[in-house]
Amino acid sequence: MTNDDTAPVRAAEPAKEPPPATVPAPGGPAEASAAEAPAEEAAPLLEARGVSRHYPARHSGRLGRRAVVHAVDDVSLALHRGRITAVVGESGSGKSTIARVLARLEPPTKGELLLDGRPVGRARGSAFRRYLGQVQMIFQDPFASLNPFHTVEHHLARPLRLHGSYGGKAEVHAEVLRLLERVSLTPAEQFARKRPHELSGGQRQRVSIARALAVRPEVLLADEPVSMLDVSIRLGVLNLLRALGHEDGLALLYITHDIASARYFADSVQVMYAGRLVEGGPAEAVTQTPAHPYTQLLIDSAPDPDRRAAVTGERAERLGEAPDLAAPPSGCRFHPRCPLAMPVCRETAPPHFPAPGSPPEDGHWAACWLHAPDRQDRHDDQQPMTTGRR
Amino acid sequence: MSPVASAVGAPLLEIRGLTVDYGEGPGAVHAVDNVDLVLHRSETLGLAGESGSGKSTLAHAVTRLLRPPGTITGGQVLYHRREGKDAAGHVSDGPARSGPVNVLDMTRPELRAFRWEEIAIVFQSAMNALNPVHTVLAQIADTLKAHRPGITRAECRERAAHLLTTVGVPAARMSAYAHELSGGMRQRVMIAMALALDPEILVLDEPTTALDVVVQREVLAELVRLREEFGFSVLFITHDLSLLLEVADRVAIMYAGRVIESAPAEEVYRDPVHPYTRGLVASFPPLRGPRRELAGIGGSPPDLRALPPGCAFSPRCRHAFDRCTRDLPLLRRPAGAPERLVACHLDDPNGSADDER
Repeated sequence: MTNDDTAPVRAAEPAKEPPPATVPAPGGPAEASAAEAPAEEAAPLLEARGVSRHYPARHSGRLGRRAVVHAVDDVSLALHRGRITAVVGESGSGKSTIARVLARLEPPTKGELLLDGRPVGRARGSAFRRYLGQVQMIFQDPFASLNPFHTVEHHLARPLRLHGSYGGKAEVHAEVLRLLERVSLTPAEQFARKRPHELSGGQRQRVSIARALAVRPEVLLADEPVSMLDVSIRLGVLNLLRALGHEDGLALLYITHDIASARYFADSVQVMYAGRLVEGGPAEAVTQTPAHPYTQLLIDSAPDPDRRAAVTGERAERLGEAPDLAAPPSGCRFHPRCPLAMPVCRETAPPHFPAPGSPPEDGHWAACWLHAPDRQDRHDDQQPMTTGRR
Repeated sequence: MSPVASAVGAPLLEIRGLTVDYGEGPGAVHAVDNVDLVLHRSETLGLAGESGSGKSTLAHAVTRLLRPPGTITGGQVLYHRREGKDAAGHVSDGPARSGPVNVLDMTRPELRAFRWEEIAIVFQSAMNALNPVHTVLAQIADTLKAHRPGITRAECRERAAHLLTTVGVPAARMSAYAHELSGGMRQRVMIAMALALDPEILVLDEPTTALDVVVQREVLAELVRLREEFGFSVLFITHDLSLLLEVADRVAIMYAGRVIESAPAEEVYRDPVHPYTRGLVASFPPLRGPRRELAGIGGSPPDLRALPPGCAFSPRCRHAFDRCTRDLPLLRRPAGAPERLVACHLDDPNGSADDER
């Protein structure tokens, strides 16, 4: 019912990221020069350039200085028409903040958003409403994102009235039914009259999807859309999202902590750690030949029944936990946990380097000093983590 | 259903016909319905199911931690104590009384002694399970003092230090409060507490669900190592079947309060029989191997207040036929699979309904 898998993934993969910088000054205005060469066929529909989002911490820092939580730092991300981009990360990595910034629920502290190549201002009002007409979001918790007092019809009719140009009640009602049918909530007449408590989690999430699609958006931001749902119905919702995305040519952002589902669902995968993107590229390349030690750790840690024999009681190597983002580590934020950390990792944040083992046109990159071109000589003995477990 | 003594060891905990209701009278919901399950010595038994399948209720019933409105309305939980221990788990000097004890018949003092000494439970949310106003040491000491009345403070400290080191927490952290520990540390402390009195059975109710995958992996590896070291048996409850297939020896799948299939983990993964198990196994996209379209399971999870007649899975089952909506399928052993039990009418040699008990 949806695309067949691997083949078109690679073929359609444009160089999404700005050309890998060889100077350690990634993101920011320095890379805005990438905009001078948008000659490639598919310009991104929604783009974040060097976006940071900092929050004031509740407690003040040392010496009475106001501590700042660096939830997202210098992230550049591009969403393309008809394509699914996954951002994978653990809790606290900033992946949801990215989605919230893209949905303009929060302003970026630094950096800018571009929709269709045009910078998105900070204005609220009608410009903000127009933005929401193009960029819609699906939230994680379908129990919290629907109003228990209102019927399904109310939830769907509201965006139609606000954003659409429908003649009258009958037209709106017809459109509500069409939306419900699109998300396979049939008989639509019956579902339109129900209230959220009469629906299962999966059905509620379908209502959320229908609500997001009501305004005929071009970009759909899905923040952990299935993680609150029962395992058996997750794939059904993901498959529906993919089918709808293909029908409408949506640019889909899929935020998840589950790298296996990202591989299944997305065309390209970006891996996030402690507020920064650390690796990105086609889903197959990132998950099958991960180049960043963190991605490798993430994949090795994911449950995998195929490796059953490999579970041993040997003392696991303890790598500690993710850092406190009020005082992020210097240099590469993964270096305190990285088994391959070098002196340079402590000092300077790595720029995006092309990942070894993937053809350059794939756009597979990793923000890791291991892949710095002048270190090529040491690659052979520094790549032992791609297979097997720790 | 008689227990099968597999290679792992003799039965340790036998659950027979356990039924747990929420509410009373005709409106009562059978959260656990006539469940038979056997945990063998030195075995890790996985219990998988979705929300509302009754897996956590089962764990609470077995440990007698169930709170109203939940009530155990039937069945037995037989605990086979080790030779030379009496019903409460104390090593007795006299000749050992033979036969298993029914946990559901225990008096409060017996239960007090039974918990922690024989069976310990680790809950999903370590933040809520640890007392925020006591240090880790105080909480471990609490357990020790309650069960070993003569124990001195120095001995408590020593034991706590040993336990924490065993689970990979620096002993110095014993004076920390729960909020000073990370999620992974808290869960390790919970495991250390559960092991304080060297129990025979460790019940793990979604022990790693709140943890990130990397930390989850570390905690799991620790558990596997501890099990090899101490030889306890584990009842591992989770919704994450892919995880269970990796760590469990045997897996039982619950649906709508009933066990619908149980088999060695390897067999459940390679060759699931029940259509629900098959759907569940195929609901976890693989990280390796070819990418292929997966469907999950259609329909909605069951509403325990309004279960369909016959098999509770029949409305979502692609293979359902008329018998499925009429007769409740009971667990039976399919031909040629001595260690497997399945509750499904498909491939049932006794095609008619006359095998009802």
